[in-house]
Amino acid sequence: MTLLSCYKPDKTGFFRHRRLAGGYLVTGDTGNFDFLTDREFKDFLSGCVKPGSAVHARLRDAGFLGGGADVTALAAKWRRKNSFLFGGPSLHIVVLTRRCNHACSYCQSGSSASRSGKADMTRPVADRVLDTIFSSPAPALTVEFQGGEPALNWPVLSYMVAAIENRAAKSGKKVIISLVSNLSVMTEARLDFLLKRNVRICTSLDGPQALHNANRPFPGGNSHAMAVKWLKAIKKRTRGGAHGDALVTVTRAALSRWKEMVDEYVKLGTTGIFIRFLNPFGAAKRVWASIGYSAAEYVAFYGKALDYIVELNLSGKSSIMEHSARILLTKILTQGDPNFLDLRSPCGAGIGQMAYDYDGSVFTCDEGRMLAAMGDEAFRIGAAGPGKYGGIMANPALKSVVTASVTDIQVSCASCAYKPYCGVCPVYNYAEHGDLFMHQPGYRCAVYMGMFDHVFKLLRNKKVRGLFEKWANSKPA
Amino acid sequence: MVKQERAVRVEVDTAVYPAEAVYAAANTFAGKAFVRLGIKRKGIFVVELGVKPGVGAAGLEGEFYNELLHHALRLKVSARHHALRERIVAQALVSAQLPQGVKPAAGKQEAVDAGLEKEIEKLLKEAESGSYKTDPMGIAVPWEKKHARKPVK
Repeated sequence: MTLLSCYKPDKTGFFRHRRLAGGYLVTGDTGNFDFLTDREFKDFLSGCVKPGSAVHARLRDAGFLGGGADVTALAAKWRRKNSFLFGGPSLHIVVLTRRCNHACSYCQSGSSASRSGKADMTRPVADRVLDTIFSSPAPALTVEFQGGEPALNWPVLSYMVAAIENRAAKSGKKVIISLVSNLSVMTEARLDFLLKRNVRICTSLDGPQALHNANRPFPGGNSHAMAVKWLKAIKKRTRGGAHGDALVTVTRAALSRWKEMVDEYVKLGTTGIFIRFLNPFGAAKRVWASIGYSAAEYVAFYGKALDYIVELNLSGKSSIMEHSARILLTKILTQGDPNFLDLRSPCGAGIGQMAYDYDGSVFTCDEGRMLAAMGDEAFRIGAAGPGKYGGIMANPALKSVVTASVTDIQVSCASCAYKPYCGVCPVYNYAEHGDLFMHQPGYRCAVYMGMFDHVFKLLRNKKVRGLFEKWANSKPA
Repeated sequence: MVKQERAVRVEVDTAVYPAEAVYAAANTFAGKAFVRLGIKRKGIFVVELGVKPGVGAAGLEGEFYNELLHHALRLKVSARHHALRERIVAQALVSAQLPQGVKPAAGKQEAVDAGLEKEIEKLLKEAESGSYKTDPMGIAVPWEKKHARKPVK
């Protein structure tokens, strides 16, 4: 009862707290934080922190001490941290085809092996999709091509890239184009076309060849060899591979191979590695028993991989960066926000991103579209086309998702120390529990809690903090 | 406390822990246990935690009491700072609607502050009534409408 009985409300500002590494982590609404020992925490609660002491100065500077809150300054900080709320949907994910030549064990996109073009986006549909994308009031857009394997519909891909250039010039919007591809049908000519137009290329590389190819079977081909070949080609043609990026999807088979996985990326000379956990969507859900894992297993794996990456950096052996950690650190250590749509409140669905299926159907987000590919169209919010934007934004499903992803109204999020940095996914909740609201503590929540715990523990080390500040302030390629 | 196999029963005195803390702690445990809340007598909650498969029952009682304590503290902190936090968010939202970089002319600051104050009050009232029908940031307004140019004569 000591914590409760010693608390003097007038002596502190607002804070959330969490037991961490034998002490307490305290955080505030604008992402401010501090680590306190048990003794310091009790002194803080009771207003007995000695003025002039180092801990008093830290708590004062971070705004945790009571009295005289500067509302205008705090509001400005809050606004900057949440600036993503004020611009409209900026990420537009376009599925050019559902066809794919891979048979990935964890495929979440509802891809099919069909060779017919029935699941391809046509040019008229592409025009309608672009009408809606360019109706977004956001002054800066990212158009991300996905699939299936989007390059299998190369005619429409190249058509849209050129059309986006034209529309961007006419509207004055800044547009980043990104292609998410397994690179299996890449050619020199296609790469020329994409790089000349500054298209960013992102692929999957799940680690060493045996692991990658087991996760991502490519009938008649070697998926790993193709990915590596083209990543090297992109790196050669651009400054340090600034337009080529890769990400890892972690399966059960990878849990013990964190070192080999990181080494594979270091060997390739990539600037970063983006380690991602499996989500129980699509094919992954059907085979979860063989490729899935518990949150605790993933967190243990992630901790080892991140520790190893940190060790490589501190010893000067590599300057590779882990992108999941970079996203968390940007939220923790900077005044801004990386606008990572999964970790926002409300989440990015509808108001930060939209996903377009090959037939022009519009979804709140890519996860919503994935669910539709499994037969549930709960997150379909309209059809793309001229003059459709207003109707899409007024769709009740969109409003429900936005409301359900506000962390202030999730029972456990509201009081969680990681609330200023985290977010929930109503589509995940719906897929797992049939409810837009989070059933706490679910797998996704436990994974992020574990990742935050690990990152915060590492932040207590001065050398690591220096490295992490560098990551937090870096710009992704 | 009565322990059964794969189940833990905890009694909570609401004179010590507020009911809201009991609900919050129970929710936190919903992932690892099937939770049943009941009332033994006035002021005494009974919390039954039916441990889910793959979760150990050892230490669950202590964990629950710790969770209760932390939630009770969080409630106190939250209650104390609720109004101020609402005001900060309201001011952030209202000020985001103002054109950025526009500074009021000399002598106009007071009028701007009064206008801001009025808008904040309006927003807080809106939030109170739950009527979120407006689109103050214009995120549902299409680009072509927002940036429509007047036809050249």
